[in-house]
Amino acid sequence: MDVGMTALVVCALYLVVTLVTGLLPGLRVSHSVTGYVAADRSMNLLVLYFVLGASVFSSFAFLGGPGWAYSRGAAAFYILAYGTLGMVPLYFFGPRTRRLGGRFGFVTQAEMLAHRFDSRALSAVLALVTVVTLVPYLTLQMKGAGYILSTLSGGAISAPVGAAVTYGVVVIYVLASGVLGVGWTNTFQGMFMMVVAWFLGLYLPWRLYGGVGAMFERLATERPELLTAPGLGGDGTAWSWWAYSSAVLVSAVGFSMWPHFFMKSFAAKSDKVLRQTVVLYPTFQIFLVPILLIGFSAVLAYPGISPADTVLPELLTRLELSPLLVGLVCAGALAASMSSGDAILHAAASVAVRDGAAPFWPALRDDHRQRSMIRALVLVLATVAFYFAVASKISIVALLLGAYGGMAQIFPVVFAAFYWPRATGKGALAGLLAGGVVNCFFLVWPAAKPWPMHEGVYGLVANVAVLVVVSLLTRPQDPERVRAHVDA
Amino acid sequence: MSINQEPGEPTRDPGPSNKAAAEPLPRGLVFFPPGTPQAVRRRRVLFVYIVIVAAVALVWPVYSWVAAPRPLILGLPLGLAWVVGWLGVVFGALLWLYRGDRHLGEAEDDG
Repeated sequence: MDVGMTALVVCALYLVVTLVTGLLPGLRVSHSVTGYVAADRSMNLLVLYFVLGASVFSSFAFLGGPGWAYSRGAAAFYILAYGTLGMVPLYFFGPRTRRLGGRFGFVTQAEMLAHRFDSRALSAVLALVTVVTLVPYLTLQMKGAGYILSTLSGGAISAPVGAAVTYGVVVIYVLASGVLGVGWTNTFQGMFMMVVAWFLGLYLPWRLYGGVGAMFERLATERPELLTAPGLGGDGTAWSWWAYSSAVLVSAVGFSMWPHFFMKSFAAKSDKVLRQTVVLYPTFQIFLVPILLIGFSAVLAYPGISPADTVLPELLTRLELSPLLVGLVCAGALAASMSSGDAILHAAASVAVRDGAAPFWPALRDDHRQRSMIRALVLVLATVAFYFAVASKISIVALLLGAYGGMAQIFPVVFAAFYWPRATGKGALAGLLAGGVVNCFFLVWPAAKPWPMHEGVYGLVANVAVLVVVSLLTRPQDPERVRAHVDA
Repeated sequence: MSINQEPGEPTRDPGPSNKAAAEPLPRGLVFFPPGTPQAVRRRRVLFVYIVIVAAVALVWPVYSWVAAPRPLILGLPLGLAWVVGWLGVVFGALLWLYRGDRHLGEAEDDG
């Protein structure tokens, strides 16, 4: 059996275990919307820890992280820096969100905000933003999965077939088990990813240089500019401190706002479990260090790899590792893609129906019908993302880059919902729209920026200013409704 | 809000008492619900200060003072070791905060 075949067998076994792990929870979760979207509010510490960890670390982290370290050096430290700060808001927002969910039956972020601000328009806008943002994200995960299987098989399995097989598995367990299927598969995938990342991150520097310290000693001597923050930009010239610092802050602000991440607060079993998950999160976050070590290990040993995102598969090919190891690493990369892809697919379908359609379509308020509609949309969105992954020429990366700044625009709305009683629905909606428009404007016309900062910073300034001014100019919300959120 | 309830409809939950509901809403920021113990308030405020210090330490200008390849700390370049160190500080601060908060909502959690 050759290397590719052995590795493919390992990946196939991984897919089978994932499928079984994803199908079993469906046997015990209720057949309601709360069961499908919020796991009957029953997630324990183990599942919540891995679902929050693994759904954030996608194929972008597993393939893109080493790519950044390889080509942009210290610029990649920003990924670790924003993660350090980004989870903290959930310690405060999460338990309030969970309690409100239990009290009023919320299962999505937009649903909770629409209630606080008494605004169906806000619900619709958030649903639109969620779908427009998450579908490109899902597309990238599919492309990553297809690329891995195609590379591994030497082209015998085409990228579209690889993506179809991988995401066929995802669709089956998401349809059958909803978020609990996502949770248990993410637990398996998260453990898998961590073991693979730590092993490779320590093994590669040892094999190529004799150890991590020895590797950085040589890099500091031969490529000091690569280890000097803020590192290099995408074009190979020095990255600016403006860009680095603002990227850290905007990404930290937006980190906990991603709908597929935030809405897991509704699935937590208790406040205590949610707080424990946030407290332990840095132990997951630290796995980015070995991910970066993988990229740094290739800098002096294998210069000139292009595109940089292929550094991990290139290393596997050039080092002539054992077929079993190659298979395990590729299965780890598939796990990274699938653990984000399943959460994204599930969240996008849930939010689209729950927040985008149900408030305007009374027939969808029937629990059984709503659950069926969410499951139907899982299929539709998976098909749309697959189309973009294999057929469309639209620049998905460009769409996704705009999404990061866009997600940060939800933060002021959530903050105001909990901490500023005077904030009104008109203020929240106007702020969100202003922030989104400014963010998109500077994304499309970066030359118009007064300073070379992340466009999300400009969006946040406009967002907060408009939210405050419009709120103060409009009638306060019903005190009873506001107190339910502020005092939660 | 249940799925049968629109954002504009009154909540099913009775919420706070009528007396509390009749009081005007505060105009400023309200960080703590009524009845939050002073010790919890102090601990949370201190925690937020620690996170702000961490945020300042991870961006320009503070980070630029330590953004060098050398010295190597535990085999990592100074710029990377600095970020990992602050991840450790935030982890420690979260553990300390949780130690004080661990009894909050316990009755509800156990129920």
